Amino acid sequence: MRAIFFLSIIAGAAAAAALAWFAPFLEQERTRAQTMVQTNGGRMEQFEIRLATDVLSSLPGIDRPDDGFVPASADWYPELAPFRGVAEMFRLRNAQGVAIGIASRVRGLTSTDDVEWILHLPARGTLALRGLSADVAEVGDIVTGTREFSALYGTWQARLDEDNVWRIESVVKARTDEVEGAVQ
Amino acid sequence: MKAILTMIAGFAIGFVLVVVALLYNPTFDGDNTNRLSGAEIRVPIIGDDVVSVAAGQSGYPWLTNFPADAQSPAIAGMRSAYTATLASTDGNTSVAYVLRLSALTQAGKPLFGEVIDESTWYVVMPRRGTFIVSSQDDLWSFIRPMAMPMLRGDTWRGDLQYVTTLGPSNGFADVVGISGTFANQSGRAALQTSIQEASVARGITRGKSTLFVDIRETPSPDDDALAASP
Repeated sequence: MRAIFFLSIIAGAAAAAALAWFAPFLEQERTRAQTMVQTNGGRMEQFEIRLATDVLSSLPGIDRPDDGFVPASADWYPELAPFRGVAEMFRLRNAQGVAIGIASRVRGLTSTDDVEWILHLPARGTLALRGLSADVAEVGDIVTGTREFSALYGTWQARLDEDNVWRIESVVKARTDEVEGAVQ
Repeated sequence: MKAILTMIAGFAIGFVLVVVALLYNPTFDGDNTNRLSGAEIRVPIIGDDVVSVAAGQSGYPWLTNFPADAQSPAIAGMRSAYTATLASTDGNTSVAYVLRLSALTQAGKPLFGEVIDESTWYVVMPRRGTFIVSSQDDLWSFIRPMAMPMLRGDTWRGDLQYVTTLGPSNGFADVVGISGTFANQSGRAALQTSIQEASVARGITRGKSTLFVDIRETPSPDDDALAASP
């Protein structure tokens, strides 16, 4: 009987350890990436931001396409002068409208037409985009990325359409493609 | 019958013993705050400096989304997203606008001391430029002592201070410059957090974080080749 008791203790301990090690404690909801392979290499992905439902924050100024660039309110961050730009945070959707992450847009950091986007996709990584803004149309290069975007380079463009939807399109290639192209 | 009852009792005792041993692992070393170096930026994690938030889904019932009063609809996979101003080391001056985005990974094994939070910081320093910090942090250091009181519905009070950064680069977060003086620069960072008060209902109500950032010119492959040449 004593042997059964001690063997059961060992079995219980092993079961607890196995459960702690193997059982998934967290099942995060993930959305399948919707990328399209490009004819000449690389892959393209489209994102959407629906104004104003996807605006999570907008500070310290307001960027109005009709009125042009409105300087920031000095009430928010007077210490941050000469930053007179706009810093916005949006819910980011894929082309089918499913919310898949967060986007940040900072415009006017050094001049009124520079812009930076950060696209953060949980479990995939972050893309840092930098470029020029001309009212409702923006274009630029992919500066850097993390995780699955870390070894990529490419271009992006964004436009604010008449239906008040930002549509962002990124085209990325692997750094190895660049090297192979140079060799050929 | 007696043998079955003995087996059940033994199994239960063994199971509970391992769970308790893992929860109160005496070999756990929480004092890891002496490994930081580099420039320092103080990050307010509560209070007026946090100006906007978006809620996510933590996935763990005892881990409240931060901040707890977030109003925005949840985004799948996100734990939290918020913007804030960063203060200088002396706390007197705002030096940056920051966006912090974080999501828990499924890889964490809480009973083995891993609740891994992956986060991206986007730091905007108006006179200098922008950079991102890609970090993996272990929240277990905080959850372990706080979990039971918080699950009972109590407000936890104490004084915990840990460097939570685990990676992705040998215990440090990766820093990559984007623009301004930080363009073509890279480095590493670590986050030290202290918490004095928290509850399931309200999240963290007293505490602060300090982000240590060391960013410098990235040596090009040509530089490496020159350095290696005789």
